[in-house]
Amino acid sequence: MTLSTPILWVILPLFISLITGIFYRRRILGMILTCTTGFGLGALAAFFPEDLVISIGPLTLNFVENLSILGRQININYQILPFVAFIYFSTGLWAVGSIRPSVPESFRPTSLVITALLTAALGVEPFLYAALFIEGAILFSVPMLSPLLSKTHPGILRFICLQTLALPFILLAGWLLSGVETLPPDSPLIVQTMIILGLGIGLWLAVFPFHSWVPMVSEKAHPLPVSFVLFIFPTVITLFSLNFLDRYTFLRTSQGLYQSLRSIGTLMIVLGGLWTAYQDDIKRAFGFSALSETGFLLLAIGLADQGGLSLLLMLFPAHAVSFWLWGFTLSLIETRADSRSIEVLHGFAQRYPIISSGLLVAQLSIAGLPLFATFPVKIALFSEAFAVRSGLGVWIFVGSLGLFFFSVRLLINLVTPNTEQAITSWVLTEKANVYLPILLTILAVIIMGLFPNAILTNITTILTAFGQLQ
Amino acid sequence: MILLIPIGLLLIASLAIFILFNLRPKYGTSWLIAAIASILAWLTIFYLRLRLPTTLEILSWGGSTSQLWGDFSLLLDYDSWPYSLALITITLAVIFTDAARTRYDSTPKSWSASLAIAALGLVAIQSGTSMMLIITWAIVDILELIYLLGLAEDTQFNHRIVIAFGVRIISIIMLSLATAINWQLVGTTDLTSIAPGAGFLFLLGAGFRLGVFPLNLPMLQEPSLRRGAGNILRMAPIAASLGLLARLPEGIITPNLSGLLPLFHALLAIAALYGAFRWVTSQSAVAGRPYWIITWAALAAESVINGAAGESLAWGVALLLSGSLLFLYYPRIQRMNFLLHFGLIGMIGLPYTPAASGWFGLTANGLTFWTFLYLLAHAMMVMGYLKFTLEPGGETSVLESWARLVYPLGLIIIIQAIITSGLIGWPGSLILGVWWLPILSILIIFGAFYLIRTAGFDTANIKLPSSSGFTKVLNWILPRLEPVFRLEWVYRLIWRIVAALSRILKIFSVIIEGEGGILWTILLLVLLISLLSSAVGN
Repeated sequence: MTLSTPILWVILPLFISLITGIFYRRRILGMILTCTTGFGLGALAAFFPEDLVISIGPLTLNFVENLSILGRQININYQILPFVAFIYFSTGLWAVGSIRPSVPESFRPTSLVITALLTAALGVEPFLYAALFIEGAILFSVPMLSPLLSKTHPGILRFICLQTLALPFILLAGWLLSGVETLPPDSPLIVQTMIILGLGIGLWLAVFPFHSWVPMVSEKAHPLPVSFVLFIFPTVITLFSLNFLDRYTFLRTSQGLYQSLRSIGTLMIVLGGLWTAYQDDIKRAFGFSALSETGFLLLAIGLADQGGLSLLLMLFPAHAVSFWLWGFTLSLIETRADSRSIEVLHGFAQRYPIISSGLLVAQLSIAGLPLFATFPVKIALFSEAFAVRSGLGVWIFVGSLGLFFFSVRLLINLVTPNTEQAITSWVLTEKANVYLPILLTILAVIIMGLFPNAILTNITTILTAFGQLQ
Repeated sequence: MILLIPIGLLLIASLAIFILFNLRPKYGTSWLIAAIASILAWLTIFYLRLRLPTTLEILSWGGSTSQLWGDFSLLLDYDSWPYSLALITITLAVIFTDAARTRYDSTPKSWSASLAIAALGLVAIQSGTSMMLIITWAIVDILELIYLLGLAEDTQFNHRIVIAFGVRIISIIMLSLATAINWQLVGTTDLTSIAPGAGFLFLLGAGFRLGVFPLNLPMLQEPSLRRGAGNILRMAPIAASLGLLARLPEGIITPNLSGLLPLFHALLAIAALYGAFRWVTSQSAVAGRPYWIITWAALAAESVINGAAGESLAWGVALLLSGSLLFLYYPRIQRMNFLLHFGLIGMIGLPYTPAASGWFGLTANGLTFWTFLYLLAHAMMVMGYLKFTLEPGGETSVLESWARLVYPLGLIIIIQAIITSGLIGWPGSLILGVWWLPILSILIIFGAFYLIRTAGFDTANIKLPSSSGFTKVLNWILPRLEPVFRLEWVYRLIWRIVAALSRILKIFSVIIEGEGGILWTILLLVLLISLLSSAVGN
């Protein structure tokens, strides 16, 4: 029997998300279906045999790597499977968090649709059609960020507007790219193409000044879907962007491009850090911290010649656990605290020590504190950036200080006892279904921080899919 | 593997006491476990003196395909052994002397914490690479934060704990920066191969943590655990920072920093003098402990700046051992007061005593104006120590029968460690030194005592009469000086800068997130395109 890999990782999850969507009110069923699909497809991708043959008793399944739809092809080849495994595992992880009643019911089906569409975007040929799949994923993320029947907030409109604006830029860049390869290197059209492409990707990644939707959506929407969106889109889009570098020599060899990426990345780190530092609203602070992390992704690509691409890939799992922890703990805090302002969180740590610890660990992990997940990658990135230009190192340091500054502010407010409340000493009030996921994720964050060579480096095999970038 | 024995013993004992305490609280059994583990660990450290240097590779992040470069190892050498000995001796002394403090803060929980902190302290001291040190510092700081917050004291205290944690985080960031730069310069994270170009950042990291460079005192009010676990809690991170100072190479003040050298000397001299002055005027030894730490750490840091990092060991060991002898001496017993005088051996720096080599560190660049300031600070430190030594004590009857044996034994163990470190602590620990400087220091002390007698001070305790004019001046000036040196004004200044910056960013946020946000975005987009076209075009 012959099947194709896109059926497994694109069509099947779309079908399951349809079923989950039909029964969207049945939380447990939806959670089980989404989790099983996420973890199952993730595990399958992780352990898929290289010869693409699976034998179960007498049944032998032969897989081919492509699927034709309307004259277009979706290829999911063996080299990209570790990344597919990673994003499906991540979707499963977020589905676990969606067990909380406050999470929008549309989250479970749409998260699966988004993952399936983004997987298709990674393998579609001609690859510019990926822009359509990504746009589809963006549109599908709207119901989870702004649930049906609830008032649409301006952040969502801004999100759709800016993200959709990227589409014509990417398509135009794709059209131009097909022609500029034969042009001489000093042709102005090459620079113009690079700028158009950069703008398209910049809009997708919410690069300054296109970032305004991030704090707006982050402030109003539920934290779990927000953390999912802020994790999965930058992750897949940065990987997708590597396609351009892999395919076009003039892009790959342009030192100006790498220099610009390093500068924009550093700008994002600094602005994200400084904006986070003074935030009073913890949800907005998360949005700005995520912008800072996007800066690190761009910086890593900018440091491609110094091995930045491996570091970029290693950042993905570190981001996944940290962002999930942020989203999960924030969703718990939102239902327990009177306000999202950190000034109002006095005494929260005494009443909910595990939730508070989870939030702090997530924030410190994103900030890059040693012992936590992003530190091994960030220190390597910092070192390489410093070697390229010491000024970059100084600015990255300033940006990181902003994140740490907010962490300390958050900690002060969490542990300052609230004299108006009955509980002033430390009491463990969380139930097992709350503290177990948090403690397990904290453990994962620490294990990634201590043993990145065992956990994070496996994902770097994805680079084999980009023949020119290895 | 032998390096892991003392660390493992302390950790296992800590865990065992913790479990025992939660299942069937037994004071005697817990104490016995703590004492046996500490004694065995202490003996192992002595045995390891015969096998220096000993290295243990633990973990490496690097590999042929990895861009990560963290290496983790333990290294016990002549730089780390004296501090390891000091820390394990303090741990043992805490357990022994806690026998006399059963009515105060001595509990199995505090022993469990003491042993765990001491074990982590040993790991930090023996860190062979800066990555190991970074991770250990982070673990120690997080555990200390949890432990101190768990003591659940007042709001102000929680606030101070978090500020202190923030300062520690900055020191970790400094160390991370130093490590990253060192990696670029020499391609290793080994602490034995620190490039002079990165050395200053290492000094900043350690100095920030010690609270001495720049001077910062976020934790003046201490938690209720002041003597036993409290002493370990303060000394273990200090020992780890001092261990880093001892490894710094010569020439960390690179030519581009040499113009700032007088400023560095001045900052350290101010820290030393201020700390010494506050120490000598402190109401009690424990209240003066932050200043005790500041001053000796300043002397150690000055040795490093002078290019004699190895000589910082002398001042570091004085800080840990002579200090702990005093801080663990509670309750005071009149008949045991004489034991405190042995602590002077470790700090005066007379020829062939442990601190004798320390004077080389202060005079490595010749006799300068700064040397005399440090001499003055040293004299004040010794005087303060003498002041607390001379305080009257109670009767032996306040002790339980078993405590009458182990309590003095705990103090004698520290004295023994002071003598041992002088004899075999590090190469060059048993030397003549700059013999006339300690004598000058003693002369200053005698002169001060003479003045004190003639000024009508209470000579038994060297305390000023409360009615004296000098007391009134001190009472007015000290509370005003303290916030200055606690660097609260720096925090306030930083906060104001952040607030000002935040107002600008907030306005920017309001504009870009407001109704006309899209138009502003397009405007910025046009600007960005014009900027990028020139950048990419070039």
